[in-house]
Amino acid sequence: MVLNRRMDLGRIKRKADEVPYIAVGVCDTGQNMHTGIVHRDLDGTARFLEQGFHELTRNEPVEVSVQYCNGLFLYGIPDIDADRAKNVAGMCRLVAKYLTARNIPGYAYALRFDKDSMFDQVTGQLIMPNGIGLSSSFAVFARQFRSN
Amino acid sequence: MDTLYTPANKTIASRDRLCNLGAQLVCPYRPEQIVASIPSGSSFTCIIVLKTDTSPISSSYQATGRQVKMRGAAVRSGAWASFVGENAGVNDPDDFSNFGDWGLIPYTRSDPTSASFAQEDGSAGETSAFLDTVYDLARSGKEELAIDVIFEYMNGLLVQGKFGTCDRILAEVDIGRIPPVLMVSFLTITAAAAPRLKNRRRFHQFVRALVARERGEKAAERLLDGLE
Repeated sequence: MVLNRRMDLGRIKRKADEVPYIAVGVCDTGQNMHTGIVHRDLDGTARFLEQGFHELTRNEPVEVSVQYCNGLFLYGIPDIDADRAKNVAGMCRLVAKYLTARNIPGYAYALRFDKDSMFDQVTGQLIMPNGIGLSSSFAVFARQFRSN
Repeated sequence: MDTLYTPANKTIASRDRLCNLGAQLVCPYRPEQIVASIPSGSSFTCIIVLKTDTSPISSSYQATGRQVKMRGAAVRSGAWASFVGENAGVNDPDDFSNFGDWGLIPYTRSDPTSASFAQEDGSAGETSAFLDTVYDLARSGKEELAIDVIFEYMNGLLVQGKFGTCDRILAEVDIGRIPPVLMVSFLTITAAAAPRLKNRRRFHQFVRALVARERGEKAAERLLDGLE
């Protein structure tokens, strides 16, 4: 895993215990890079809200995720106001609760993987010609920006 | 226009009439300026609100100059009134001598807030209970739980298309009784529906002014970036 030298390495943590409210969790599984949002549950448990295999949304305690991802985990603390971070964590809990309540295995907002999705080179807008699509990294992107 | 005046330092007595009308308060010495808005279906105690309220009113307005621009989104007896703008006469919350008389005028159709308040697609009692829950959680320091309550309730309304109710809540939220983190919650969960919520912009302005005063301009900008 290569880190950009210009990054604020103080924001990169090796232990989930060091995540105050939220972090972008990144895992090198040995086969690919996987990512998700680490957030605190109401009882203080650090959970990993992730989009596995482009379709399976999970919200397991981090220690469980670390086991099945079977690789090095790092946690990037975003440089946002703590009050905003608390709200992003709240949004994660809302998504997770929504999934649990409706027993939905996939992403709650009717998004599916779309091989034809692209960025418009003029406007920069994300175009989903089939109206669907999220990889794990896009899921992080979408949740973070939707709630931030 | 039918204008009802009430003396300073006295509770507006015609509560029912006020509720039925929906009303705006105007400052007598600047009668063209709307200084408060009151959602219909709510009770309101004018100056007495400020006297009896234990919430930190003094931190909710700026007090330089003479001009008053007040928005009374609060709506229950003992609730709140918040200020943006300037008013030199109310440094001391117990001193209302400079307020003069306050007047009431009915809402006009052209006022954007009246339309949203008239769109009663949600139970006023239910939303009131929701806000009371939020205030209680805020008072007891349970911020995370309060965030969840706000997200879940507001998200439910938005999913059901009850934009009028959401809009009314944004007008009724007592920002004197919740910390900035919960103000952000209201802005966050309503961001996607912003074009359909006429009171949201005003709520945002209020929050921004309050946070800027307490934490500084840069902090306010950082906290509320992207939530316009």
